[in-house]
Amino acid sequence: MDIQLKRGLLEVCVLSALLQEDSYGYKIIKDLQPCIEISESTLYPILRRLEAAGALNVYSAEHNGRLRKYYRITDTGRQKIQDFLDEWKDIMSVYEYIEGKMKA
Amino acid sequence: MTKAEFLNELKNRIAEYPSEETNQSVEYYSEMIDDRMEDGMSEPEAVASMGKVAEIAQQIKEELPLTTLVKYKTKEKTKGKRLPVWAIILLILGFPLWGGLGITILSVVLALYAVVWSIDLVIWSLVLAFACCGLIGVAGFIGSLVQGAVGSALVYLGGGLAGAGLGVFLFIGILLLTKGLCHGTGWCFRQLKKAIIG
Repeated sequence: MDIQLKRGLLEVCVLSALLQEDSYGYKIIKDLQPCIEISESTLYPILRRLEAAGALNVYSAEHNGRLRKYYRITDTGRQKIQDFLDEWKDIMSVYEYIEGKMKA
Repeated sequence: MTKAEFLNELKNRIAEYPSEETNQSVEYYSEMIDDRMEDGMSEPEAVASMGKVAEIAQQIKEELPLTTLVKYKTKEKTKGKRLPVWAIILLILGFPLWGGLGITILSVVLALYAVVWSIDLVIWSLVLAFACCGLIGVAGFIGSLVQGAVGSALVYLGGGLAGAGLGVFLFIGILLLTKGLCHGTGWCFRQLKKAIIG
């Protein structure tokens, strides 16, 4: 897959993993496993970028006597997902057009 | 490799960058290893699943904003080579001398560069002139023929063809030269950028 495309997809995937509840790094990776393969070293810069863009907030909470970082999606983040869905609706209609041309 | 070894190596590899950056990265990987171990992995397994430290460090560097990178790269280059105070004073006092020299050298280099482009421009003008020569030759040939002067018609034709031929030759050469100059300029800029950023 095109690297730029995958990067964009991963960002939205990570955001979508936060929709139901706040989550932490390892859980995000495990939750996304059925959808897309993502490694720790790939996730890290994505989380940083999303945080810098204001799409998620970070807070630390205690877990088993150590601190764990949790991520919470913001309104900006939700908007990002919505933008993604809208954009792909357009892309899908282009896809169907091209597919139709191929079959004709 | 144990978790402590892994984190230490990572810390060492990115130590030259801002400490908040270093701390955040190390905390992140520490948490990841802990979570994997809690999930049932052994320590060496959890560490191994993180991947190679060198690659992780490289990735962290790549994600840093360019301005931070430049700042820390230049710092890194001057590290250990810090000038003593007397040298700095000498540098400042000597500025009229080495400043002048530096500006002179820079000017010479720029002037040479401009000269090369001027030559390029001159040859392009020549090509244009030869092309005109060819056109006028043909026009003269036809004009003389109409007037019935066969001798001068042939002279016009010969001159025109000779000019046009030279023009075509020069055109091929100058096209290559101009392309070369553009590539060379781009190359110089890349080298300069590399020298600064590393």
